[in-house]
Amino acid sequence: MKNTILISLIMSMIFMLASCIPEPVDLEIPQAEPKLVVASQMIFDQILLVQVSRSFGALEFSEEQSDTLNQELLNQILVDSARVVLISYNQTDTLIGVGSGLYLGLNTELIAGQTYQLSVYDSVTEELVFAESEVLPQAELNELDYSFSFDSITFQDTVFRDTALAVSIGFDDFLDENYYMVNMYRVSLDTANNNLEGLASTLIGDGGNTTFALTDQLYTEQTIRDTLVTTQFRPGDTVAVALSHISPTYYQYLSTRSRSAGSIFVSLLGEPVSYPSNVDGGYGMFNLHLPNIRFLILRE
Amino acid sequence: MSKLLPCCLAFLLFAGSLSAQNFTLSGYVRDGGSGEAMTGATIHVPSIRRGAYTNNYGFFSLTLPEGNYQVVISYLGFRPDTLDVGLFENQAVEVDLSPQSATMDEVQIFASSDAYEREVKSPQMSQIRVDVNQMKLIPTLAGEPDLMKVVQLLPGVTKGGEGTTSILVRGGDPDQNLILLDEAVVYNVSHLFGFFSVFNADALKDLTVIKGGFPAQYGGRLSSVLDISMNEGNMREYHVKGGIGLLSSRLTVEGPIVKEKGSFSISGRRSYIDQVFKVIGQTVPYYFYDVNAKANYRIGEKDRLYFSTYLGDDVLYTPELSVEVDSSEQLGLGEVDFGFRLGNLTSTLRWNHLFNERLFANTSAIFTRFQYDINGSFADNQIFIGSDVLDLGLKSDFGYFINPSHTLRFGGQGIQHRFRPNVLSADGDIGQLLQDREVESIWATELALYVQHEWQMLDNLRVNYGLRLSGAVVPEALYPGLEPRASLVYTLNDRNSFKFGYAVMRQYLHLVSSSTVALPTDLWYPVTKDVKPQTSNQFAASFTHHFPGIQSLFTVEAYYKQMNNLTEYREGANLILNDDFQSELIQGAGEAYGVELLLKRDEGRFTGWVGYTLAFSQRFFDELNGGNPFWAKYDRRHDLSVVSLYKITDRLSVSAVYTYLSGPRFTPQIGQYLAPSPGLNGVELIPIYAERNSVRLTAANRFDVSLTFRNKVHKRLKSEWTAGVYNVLNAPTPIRVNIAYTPERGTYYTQPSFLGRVASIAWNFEF
Repeated sequence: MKNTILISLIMSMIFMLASCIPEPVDLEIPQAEPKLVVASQMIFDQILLVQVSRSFGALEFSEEQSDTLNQELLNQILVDSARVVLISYNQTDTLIGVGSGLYLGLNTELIAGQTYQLSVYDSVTEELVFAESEVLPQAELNELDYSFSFDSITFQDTVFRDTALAVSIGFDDFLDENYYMVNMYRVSLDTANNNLEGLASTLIGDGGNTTFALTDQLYTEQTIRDTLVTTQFRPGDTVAVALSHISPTYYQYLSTRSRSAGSIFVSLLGEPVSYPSNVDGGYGMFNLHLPNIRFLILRE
Repeated sequence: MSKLLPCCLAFLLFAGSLSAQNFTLSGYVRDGGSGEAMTGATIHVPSIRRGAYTNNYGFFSLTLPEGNYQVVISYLGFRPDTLDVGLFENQAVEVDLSPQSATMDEVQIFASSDAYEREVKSPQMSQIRVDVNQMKLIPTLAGEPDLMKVVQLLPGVTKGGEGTTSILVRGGDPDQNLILLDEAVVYNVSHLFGFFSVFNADALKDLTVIKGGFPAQYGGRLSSVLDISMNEGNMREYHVKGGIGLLSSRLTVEGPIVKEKGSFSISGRRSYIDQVFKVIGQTVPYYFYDVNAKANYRIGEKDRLYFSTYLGDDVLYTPELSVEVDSSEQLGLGEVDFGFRLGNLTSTLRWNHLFNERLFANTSAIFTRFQYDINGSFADNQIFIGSDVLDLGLKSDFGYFINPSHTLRFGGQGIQHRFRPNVLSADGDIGQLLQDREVESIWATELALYVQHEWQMLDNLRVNYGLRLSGAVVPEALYPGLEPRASLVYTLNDRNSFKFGYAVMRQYLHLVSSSTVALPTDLWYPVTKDVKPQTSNQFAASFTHHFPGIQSLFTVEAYYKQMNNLTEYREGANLILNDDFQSELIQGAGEAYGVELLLKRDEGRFTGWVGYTLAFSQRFFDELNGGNPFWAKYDRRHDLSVVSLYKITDRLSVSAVYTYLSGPRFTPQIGQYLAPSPGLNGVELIPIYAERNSVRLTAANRFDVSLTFRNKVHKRLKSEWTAGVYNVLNAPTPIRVNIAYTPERGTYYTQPSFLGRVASIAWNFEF
């Protein structure tokens, strides 16, 4: 009995000692050296938009801490001191800086089959990066049609409505392995007129733009036909549908983006999803393509 | 090889019959207290330096020239017995060994010396037997004796996440371990999301861990075999034992069905944290339970039947939680109920048959099911997600003990697997959003035949070589393959030996897992026409030295393992409810190498072991890390375990464990950049990652102790108090990396720990 009491006392003391949680331990993780980042986009078929920025550390911004990048960080990472030059076989174009790290080539003439080199030199840091892109032959959007479907679901006495736009496209595939991008933009008159205000509104965007990446490996016919469904548009919208013949690297970039976006599994695994880059000495993706654009005025 | 093998077999079959003056001493070795069969007991004839050991059913066979012999039968922890045998005809004996007191050192030296000498001379390498009674004394989290956590302390074995029961052996993956409970595969070995194992220590009799030099009878996984036997039950008298711990309680009843002919053992365990919190008005909607049952019956002198079964579940439920949940009310969902049930059921029916004094056979019919069900309901909506794996197997193993120089083992196995993944059904309004579906069951058949010959080639050279022919039949594909195995021991003297081993292994199942934490969505799948079997080639070399002065055995072992067709997921893969998950799997290669040191002492007042592993494990996948080699996630460079148990008196003992373990690897984000979205409707943050698995969490070291105090030895009710402290030093045991922010320091990386110091107390009893 005496022993039992003694043991119980010892046990009680042990319990009192318990319930400590060690202090978290710091970990030093070397951060990637800041490098120039190049991103490009063809707006319609003649305006080349290049964004130049600088990469930054993983600790400098976290979406868990804030929804938006603060202005101070934006000022640090957007590079307005760059000289951006597009070099092709017979011409050299220096792009116009319009602020916020954006550079525009307003009359970029792209020739299928030509390889273009982009050089970006930051006069402040004296960094120089290069990237190359081959302009692939333009794909012709031969077939274009659309239809709306209106679904509604009653859930817990609430009716949820959904408007889906199904855009049917058809175009002739090129020989060998090919990759395509279909962009759909909600357009306004200003945008169509190519003025800077219109461009700005496009860049800000209204959430109505959608991108699809396609590979001809999934189609057996010479003419690729598919129906692309999006819920971003409504009756009354004017939508530009742009078909572009893109490089494998850019297709890989687009695929990576679509696979990583919103994947619960990726979050659970915590494993990396690496984005490809074709910028020598920096990050990002320089891609030139010849979009073939058709317009749809959506009616119910 | 294919021509050589039949010739060897024919020679061996004749070898027995040619030796006309030989007679066989065979029989069973049993625990004198309970009458249970003893696995691995040593039968030694000192005068001619020959011997044998008992198989998993306690049977041995020793064929010797006619004559008078003194035969010593010994087993660790038991008083050795000596038989005077006049071997002028075949003889069958049954030997009962009596447990010895912990303080009788002189006798123990003999028992452990015999066992260690056998280990020195055995060609089997990379194998460790774990004493279940010793295991119960090792301090563990919450005072729950945990087999898997003891296995993690062995050299060559490391753990997944801190605190979890997952094991990784010699640089392999978590799904490469064949875990057998009475020959049935246990697919899910953990309770409580991986923090406790499903094995109730009171229900276990024996555990053997094999990491390399695999005998041909085992196959189906690349990295290890954990062969676990359940208690058979006391043949002579009824006993009840149990324990009450902080997390769970357990009870075992065992006794004879018919004295000396048959016995049973039933063990049950349940966690009761849900019930404890219910008393104080709180809800912890989770519990686990398991039941182990085993019975055996001797039909005659030559036949014996065994039946064993295991049933265990983890259950999460939300009975009273639902109504008050704010978020559900905001969503208008009303009462929310969510739960899951996840568990194994295994059953094994075995028939031992002794054809004659030299040919022993065991045939087993095996059933295994692993199943998870997730149920959710809110208001009038119900959703069910389920999956299961079901195996039916038949297996026959033969042991032909030709003479002390030749033993032949052969047999075959067939397993029919049925996989039913991602079943979904929904009722109510939610049925409009989720369509019912039952993905077609996947059937796969695994077949194997094996033969193995253990041969004393020279006085100091013993080899054990064999061949396993295995294969899997799956829709649209057939994967046959040869798995040669060989190991040899070159004995310098009774105390020193060198061993070499080589084994090819093939694996036809893989685990589709979202993480190393056991989640109900972790599923097993077979190979397909696109997903090829994993294979490995492992080479190992070791040196073993017996220190009789300190009654210890030292082994240093180096290994190299090359693995093919390992599975990983594509970057960004989504496997949850994805019927086309196979397309998300990619296959690559891996290699692992390292050195393991083990110094152990199994008997005496002071027992335990020191294990150290220096290990390297790399992976090669074309589609990952830019095609460059990368370290495996659990490539833990240094792994040190010091396990010590000291019996201060017969009533008081103390045990302590110290571990040092390099941290697991991960792939940190080390930068980011802005990129306009392709649709030009905003910008996106693109992460920049370091090389895959290039950074480690900080190494962890931990010191655990426990104290066991028993009541007076001669009392009928034996009881003991065990008090323990996990992580006495409250040392950090990092489990992940978080980003923290303070105004003083800004943003920085920090690593929270699994648990700090945790005390536990348990009361165990037996009568």
